Amino acid sequence: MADELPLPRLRWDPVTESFSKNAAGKRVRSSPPASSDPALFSSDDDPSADNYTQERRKKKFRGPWYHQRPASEESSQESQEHAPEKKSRRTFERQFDSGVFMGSDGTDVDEVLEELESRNAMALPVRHSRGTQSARRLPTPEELVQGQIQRCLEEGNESIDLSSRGLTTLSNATIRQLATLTPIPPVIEGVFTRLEPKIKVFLASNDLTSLPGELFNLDRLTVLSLRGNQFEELPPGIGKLSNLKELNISQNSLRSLPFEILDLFSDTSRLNSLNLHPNPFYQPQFPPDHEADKQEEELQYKIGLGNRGRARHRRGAVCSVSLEQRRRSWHSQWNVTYQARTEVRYLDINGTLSKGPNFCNDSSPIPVADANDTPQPPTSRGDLSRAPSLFEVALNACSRHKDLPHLTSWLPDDSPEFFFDLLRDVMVKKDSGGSKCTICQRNFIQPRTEWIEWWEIAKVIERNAMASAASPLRQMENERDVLESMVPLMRRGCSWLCVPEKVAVVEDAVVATE
Amino acid sequence: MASSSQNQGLSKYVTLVSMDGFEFVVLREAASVSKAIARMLSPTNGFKEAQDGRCVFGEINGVVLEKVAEYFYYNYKNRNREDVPDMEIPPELCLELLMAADYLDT
Repeated sequence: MADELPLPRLRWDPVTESFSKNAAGKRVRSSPPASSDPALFSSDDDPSADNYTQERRKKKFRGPWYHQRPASEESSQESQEHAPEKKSRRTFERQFDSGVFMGSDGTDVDEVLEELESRNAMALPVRHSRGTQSARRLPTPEELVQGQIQRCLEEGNESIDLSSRGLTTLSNATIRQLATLTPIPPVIEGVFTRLEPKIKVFLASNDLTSLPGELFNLDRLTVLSLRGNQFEELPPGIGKLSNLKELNISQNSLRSLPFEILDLFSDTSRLNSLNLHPNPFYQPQFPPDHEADKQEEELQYKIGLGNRGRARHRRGAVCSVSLEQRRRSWHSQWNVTYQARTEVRYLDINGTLSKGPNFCNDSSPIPVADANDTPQPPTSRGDLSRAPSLFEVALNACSRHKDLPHLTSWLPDDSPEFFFDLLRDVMVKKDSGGSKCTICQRNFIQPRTEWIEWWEIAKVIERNAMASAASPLRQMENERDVLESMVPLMRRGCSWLCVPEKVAVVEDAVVATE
Repeated sequence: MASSSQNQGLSKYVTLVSMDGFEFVVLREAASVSKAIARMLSPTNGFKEAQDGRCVFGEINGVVLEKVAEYFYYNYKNRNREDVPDMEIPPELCLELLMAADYLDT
């Protein structure tokens, strides 16, 4: 700084080729000598910003510091002493092409420039530190997505394309904003029409494993693409999207779909396009006694007759339809029929398997239950009731707890790992909208029964359309459709009494195939 | 319950004792919903609890045990109903009840 002591002037001894302090001659300053030599030496004797108002030449030295000898000793010493007076020597020239200071500008350019410069000098380090801060913390994909949703809301854009954003999570708060989306109404024949938004959400090619429950409360959602994510299960809430026209869930890790997805095919819904494959769905394994030779024959059927030959699939064996299916009415566009189910898995209060088949993770098919199979609950629990277990009641209270995310931190340290997993699971289920018993519609957290039903879901192809398009290409498509039309649906119950209804063997299914 | 007719010689009520000394007298049939309590009270297993009909829980405090006893009656009352009402639980007890439920296997 300015009040720093200038270095004592050293005398150059031509004999020893070095400076000497104690040579004859007076000191420049009468101040007491520094106790030791300064550790650092810089030619920037006064680094204050005021010294930088004009270009300065740094003094150049050669060799070690104790050999320092400025190029011109006299002039440098002088410039140091006269440093405070430098202002008078400033030479600034007008930059006529700068566009800031015009030739006609009457202000004192020097003064303004000086002010500007000093402000810059102060602002620079600040700006610099801000820059490093933002470099340290990039916005997360979800924050970027929030910004995009905000833009869509402002523009009234109904098509929200969030594909390939590297999303791993999507929170309820992000999606909730979409409920307020209102499109800009178009003018048709000079009249403004009130528009219901037709929201389209594209989440393709992300790394999502769960969906926010709020997504299923967007009742104006018409297109939903979840293609290419990491889903292993879809939340049951998906059945609530009654205005959905297109659904794409291909290229995920789905082994089964929630039973509630059938609501999308009811006669009041509007689903038009559905892409389920490819996904590693559970495959049914039918009883072996009537397959071997029939397998090929049936394939022939499938290839040749497409949709129409399908009901023969179950010919002579288990032509069964659950009572529930007969009660429901499906959309005329979709052919939805119950095919088969697995045996019931009975789960204990904490979710461990008590009785029933294992749904393994490899791709081996799961044997289907006999048509006359009546589920037998394990006897370990005595009399059955629909009342939830205390465990379930407590879990429910945990789920409603307002501080659910931090509940795990209140668990004693020595509590089993299982509790931590359980509470994490509760949180995920709550975020994705919870689940209802598919038999008695009661909300539950820990399922007590579960089984898979295979339903045939295929789009009804109009007869005349088929006749006109009797090309080989069309037939190939049919074959694939047939093989892929068996969709496994996961059904879960809330008590050991919530088991599949007895199915009624119906004859007319065979008749219907002509 | 089938077991109640078999165990004629046993008292109709059992006593549940919490770690801080609170005692709750509940119907044996209702308490038997808990597999752990049923095992303790079964005369075939020969536990001390079976003789005097008194179960002492060293890890459950009175407030929680009261809720547990309440649950026993809730379950007992609704055991044959189709539409079971929900049971309310104060949020501050949910974790302790969860662990008690796991312990009692209820």
